[in-house]
Amino acid sequence: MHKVLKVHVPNSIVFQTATSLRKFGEHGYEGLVFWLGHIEETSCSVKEVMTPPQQSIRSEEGVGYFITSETLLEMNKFLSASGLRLIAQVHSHPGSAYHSPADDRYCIVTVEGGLSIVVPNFGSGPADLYKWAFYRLIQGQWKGLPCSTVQALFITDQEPPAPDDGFIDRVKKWFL
Amino acid sequence: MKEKNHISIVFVINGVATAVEANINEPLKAARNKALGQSNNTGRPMDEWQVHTEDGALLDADKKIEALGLEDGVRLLLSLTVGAGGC
Repeated sequence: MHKVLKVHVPNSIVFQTATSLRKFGEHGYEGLVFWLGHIEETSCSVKEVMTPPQQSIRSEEGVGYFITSETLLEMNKFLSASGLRLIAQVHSHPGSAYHSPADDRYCIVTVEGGLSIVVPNFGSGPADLYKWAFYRLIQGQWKGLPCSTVQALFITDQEPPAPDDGFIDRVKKWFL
Repeated sequence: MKEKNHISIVFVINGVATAVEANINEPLKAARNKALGQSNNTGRPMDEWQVHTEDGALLDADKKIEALGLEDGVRLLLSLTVGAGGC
């Protein structure tokens, strides 16, 4: 992943990610999904959103998620059998989007150049990639990516957004 | 050509196979750590990775490779003990 300079993310993946995270958020929980896809030498393409079995945590100290060793072992087997690669982990926060110390410490993406994305407000905002916070594993440390780097790194396509994003409703408002 | 007392072990890490040569008189964790370094998996401490056989048996990484009965070309799964996040 450390050689990857371009990440292609179809809009459908962005909407599916936001939809999955909102479902956790509706119950006041953080959620985690994985972006899986294919990696070439200097580019990669996200093909699937995977929501792993997870334990949601909510206490006076905050919110979080927990993934067991059994789930991580099964995911390893699945990735090996399918040929898909773990490109990014994406999780939600109740408020602002940032990488917390726990996010750094217990990340599941572990390879240099791997990506971790944090979605604010439990994903309740618009499914807009550029409103999320991006981090990349560089020399064993998670580094926040500035907006200009995110815009250069990620390529989204022009396909119409999914209806559940409210896009159709917004279009109706524009024309009525 | 392999050195004497060395075997090849293939570790699968998040679906990606990485082959390393390992001395059978060393603990399995030496080969595990070599595979993690070789594959650029720097995000978590090396002792937070578990080693399983393809059948799902958990191996004691402190034991010598020879004592574990691992054979040349064996394929093992490396996965994290836990994943988490929160704020």
